[in-house]
Amino acid sequence: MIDERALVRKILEGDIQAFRLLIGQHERLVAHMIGRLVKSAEEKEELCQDVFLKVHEKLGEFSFQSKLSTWIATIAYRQAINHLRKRKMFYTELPEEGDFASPFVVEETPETLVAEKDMDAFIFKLIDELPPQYKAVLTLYHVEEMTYPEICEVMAMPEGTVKSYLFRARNLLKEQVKKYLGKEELL
Amino acid sequence: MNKQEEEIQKKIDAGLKPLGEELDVRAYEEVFLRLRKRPETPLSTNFADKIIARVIERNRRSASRDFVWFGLGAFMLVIACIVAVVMTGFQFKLGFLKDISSYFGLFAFGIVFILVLNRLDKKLVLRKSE
Repeated sequence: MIDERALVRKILEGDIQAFRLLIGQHERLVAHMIGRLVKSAEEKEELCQDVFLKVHEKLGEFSFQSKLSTWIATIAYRQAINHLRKRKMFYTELPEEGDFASPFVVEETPETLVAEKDMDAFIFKLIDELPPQYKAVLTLYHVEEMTYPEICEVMAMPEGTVKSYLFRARNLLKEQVKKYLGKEELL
Repeated sequence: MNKQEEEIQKKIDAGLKPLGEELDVRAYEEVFLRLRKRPETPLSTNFADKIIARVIERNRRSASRDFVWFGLGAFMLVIACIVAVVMTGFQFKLGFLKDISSYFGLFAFGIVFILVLNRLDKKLVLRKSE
């Protein structure tokens, strides 16, 4: 497998096939980030393309102080957040402490959410309802298996905030699933 | 953060069986199982081709824009030279080279200064903008 430095050097020399290889290596990462944060299906692919265009444009500025994947994830995260802000979609700074659940999780009964009683669909729907920052932390930690310092770099947040978001997000999901399971046991 | 909840999360994340209320533990296990699942990534099969086509198009536009700016710059330079010649009454005689040669040090300093400035710009400004 070609190493990152050689790959970047080739791309900077204008090698299109090397860039194609970079896209292949990181398209899942970008698609996971954009896919989780942006709801509109039509805009997802275009935003993913925009991320790679930015990667190509800024690659000369990449200094190898982090992994290439971390740098690309940072671009993807910023691109998604800028998109949400531009579209004036649901994006707000989250409170540090206190009642973090009330503004975000809609008190829907599980049966209205998922009539087909599909736990997968139920939990994915709940994840989709979370604030973008929570979804990003969950994706980077659980799907991309990034370390805390890497997530801090991607989201430009202190480690304490990242850990707190991760805890809160899981806790919010657990509370909803608990209700669902409790209801299921009664039946 | 609730210490007991935190402990349950840590244990499940590490693949261990935590102590705690049974329903809490089961709910967390269901959540963690789904969180680890990779979301669907419905990118088109020619996703890379589309990006590469956009890169090529952008490079082409950028090249033609550079060409326009170069042409405009060259044109302005010619105009500036004509204006300077007309306004100063400059005569094209080899004697002007003698005048310039007496300022050799100044010219050499100018070239070195520009090169150093360029180098610093690349090292400091670009690194800062990353």
